Amino acid sequence: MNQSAKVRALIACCALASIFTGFSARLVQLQVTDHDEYAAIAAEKHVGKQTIYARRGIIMDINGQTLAGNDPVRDVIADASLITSPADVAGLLAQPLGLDENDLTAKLATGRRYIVLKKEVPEATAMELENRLTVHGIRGITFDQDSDRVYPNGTMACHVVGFMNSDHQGVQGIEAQEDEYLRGHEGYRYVERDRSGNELVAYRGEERAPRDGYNVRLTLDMNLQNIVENEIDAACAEFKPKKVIVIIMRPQTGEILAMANRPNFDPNEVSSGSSDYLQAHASGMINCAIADEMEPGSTFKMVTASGALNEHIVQPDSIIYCENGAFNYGGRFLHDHHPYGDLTVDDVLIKSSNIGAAKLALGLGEERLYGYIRAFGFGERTGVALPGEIPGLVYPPQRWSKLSITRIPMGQEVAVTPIQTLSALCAIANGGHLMMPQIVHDITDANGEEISSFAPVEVRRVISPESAREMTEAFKGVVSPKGTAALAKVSGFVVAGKTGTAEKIDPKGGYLPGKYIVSFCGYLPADNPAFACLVMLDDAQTTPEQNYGGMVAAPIFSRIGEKVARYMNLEPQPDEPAGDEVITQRDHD
Amino acid sequence: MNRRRHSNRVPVAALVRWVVVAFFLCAAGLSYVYFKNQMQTTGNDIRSLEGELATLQTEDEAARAQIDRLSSQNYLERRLAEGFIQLTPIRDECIVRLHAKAGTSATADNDTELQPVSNRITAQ
Repeated sequence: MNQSAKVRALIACCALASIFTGFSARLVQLQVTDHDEYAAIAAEKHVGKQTIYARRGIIMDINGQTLAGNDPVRDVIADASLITSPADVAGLLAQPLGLDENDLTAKLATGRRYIVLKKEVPEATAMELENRLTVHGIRGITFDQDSDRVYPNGTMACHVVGFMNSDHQGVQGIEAQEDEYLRGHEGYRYVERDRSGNELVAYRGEERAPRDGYNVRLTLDMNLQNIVENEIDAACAEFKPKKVIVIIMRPQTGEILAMANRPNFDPNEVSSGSSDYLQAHASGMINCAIADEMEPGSTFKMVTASGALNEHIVQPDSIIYCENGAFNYGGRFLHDHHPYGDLTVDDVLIKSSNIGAAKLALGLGEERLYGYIRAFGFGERTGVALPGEIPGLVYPPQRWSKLSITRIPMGQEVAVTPIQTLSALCAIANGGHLMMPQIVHDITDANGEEISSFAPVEVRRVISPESAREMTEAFKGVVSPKGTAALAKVSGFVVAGKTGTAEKIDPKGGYLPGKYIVSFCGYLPADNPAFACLVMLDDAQTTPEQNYGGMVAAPIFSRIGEKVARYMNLEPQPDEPAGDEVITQRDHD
Repeated sequence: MNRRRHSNRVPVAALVRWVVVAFFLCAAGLSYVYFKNQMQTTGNDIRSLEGELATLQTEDEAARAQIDRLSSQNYLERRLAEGFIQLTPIRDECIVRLHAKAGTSATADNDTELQPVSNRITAQ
C-alpha cells in the first residue's frame, strides 16, 4: 500500500470512527442522560391510566326487594375528526337518539375531537347503534359505559331511600347516609397503546381491581310500606292535610318496618336533574318523620303518667280531682275538653284530661318530669341511621316559666319529632326499654357475604316493667268505647294507644286558630305487641268537631293495623263484649 | 520447498460447533419472535374476552334492572289495576284458624296430634 492510500484509509477510518462515536454519544445521551425525560414523553403518548369503575351497591328491603339499583346506560361520544360524512352519520344516529338531524350534522361537521352527543342512552339502543355503525364501517363514534341509578318503586319510601345528584353522590336518605359503603372503590390499570390507540395487553402495567359497592338491606318491609302508602293516599284524598306522617316500628327491637310521609317525590325524577321538578318538590324532600318538630299534644301525657307511676307517686287507680274542667294555677286557668271531677290515673289517660296530667306532673316535680322527658329520648336525636335528624326542643327546668309544669305534661312548650314520639311509645310497649330506631338491617358485599350487621341497641331502661304494664292497661282503655280513640280499634285484637291533638304554632307567636296536628300512636296486640304505629296529620281539612286525633288519625291507624296484622299473620283473639259504660258524647283528647 | 500437508482438510469439529451455535441462535431468535407473537395474540384474546365479559355483565345488570322494575310494588299494582293480574281477596270464611288446646302450641311439634280448626274466631 502506498503512502497516499494509507492516508486515505486512515482518514476514512477516522471519519467512520467519528461518525460511530457521534452515534454512540447520541445513544448514550438518549438512553442514559435524557432517559427519564424521553421515557416520560413516550409514556405520556402511549401509556395511560385507565379507571375501572366500581358498581354502586344496591339498597333493598328486608325481603331483598330492590329499592335502589343500577341500570347500565351509555354516553354517545363523537370524534368528528374521524367522520368523513357527517350527514350520513347524523342520518343514522338522529332518530334512535331522539336528536334533530340538522343539529347533529352541524355538530359533526365542526371536526372537534370530543363531542358528547347524548348521555344515558339505554343499553339496548346503544348496542343496536353500535352494530349498525359497524355494518356501515363508520368510525369516530364511541359508546362510553355509564350507570343510571333507578328506583323501581318510584315515590314509595322515597324519604328513606333518598336520591343521588348528577355527580353520583348520595344526597339524601340511605343514599347519603351509607354512601361510603354503597359507593365502593374504583380500580385502575396502566395500559400501553399502539399508534392506532389499541391497547397492547402484553404491556399492561400496575393494576388494582375495583371493589364494588356494598349492598345495604333495610329493615323496611315493602309490603308493609305499600299498606301504609295506600292508606296515606286515601287519607290525603279525604282530609287534604298539609303533611301526613306514618311510621311502623317493632317495639322489641326498634326496627322501622315502614316510614312514609306526604308530600313526597319521585327519586327517579330528582336524579335525572330536572330543575323544574326539584323546585316544585323541594318541600316534599324533607323527611318529616325525623326532621320536623312540633308540639306533640296529648300523646306526651304518656311521659308524665309513666313517670308518676314509675316513681310510685300514684297508682293506676289513684284518684285525681280534675277541678270540674277549670284549674287555676299560677294565675291562669287550665281547661279540660269536658269537665271532670274525680278521675283515676288510668282515666286521666283514657279521657285525656289536661288537668289530671298537670296534677300528675305537679306531684312529680320539675326536675323529675324533665328527667323522664329526657329519659324517653326527647330533646336528643334518636340515632336512627338517616341524615338530617333533629333533636327537637326541650328546655331545662331553669328556663321553664311558672306555668310550664302544667303545660308540658299536655304536650305544649316542647317540640318533638314523630320518631321520638313513636320510640317513647315503644319503650312503654316493650316493658320499659328505650330502643334506638333501626333502619339498616345489614350490609353485604356483592357475593352476599356479611360485612356488617346491626343488632338492636337499647339506649336505656326508662321505666320498670310493672309501670310499663300499668301504662299499657291504661292505653287499652284509650282504645275502648269510653276512651278517646275508640275508632282505633282493630277487630280481633286488643289495641293500646294514645291520641294527640295539638294546636299549630304560629311562626309569628301564639297558635294558629283552627289549625291542628292530630295524631294517634298505638300498638297491638297490646300485651305482646308485634308492631307500633304512629299516624300524624298536619292541618287536616275537616269540620272542627271532627278535627281530633281520635276522629281523624285513629281510623287510619285502625285500617293500617288490620292489614298489617293480617300480613304479619297475627292470630286474632276473640272480641270482648263492650263494657257497661255507654258514652253518648265522644270524648276528645 | 516445503509443501503443506493436509492443506484441504475440512475443520469439521469447528464447523459443527458453529453450525450448532448458529442453530441455537436462530432457534432462540425464532422462539423469541414466536413467543412475542403468541403473547400479542394471547393479549388480544384476553382483551376480547374481557370485552365479552363486560358485555355479559352489562346485559346481566340490564336484565336485573328490568326484573327489579317488573317486580316492583308500583308496577305490580299498576298491572293489578289494569286487570292484567287477577287476584281475589281472601274472604274471612275461607280462612281456617287453628285453635290450640289449652297448654299446647298452635303449631304443635307432633304432626300426628289432631288440632281443632274452624273458620270463626273463637276463644282459646
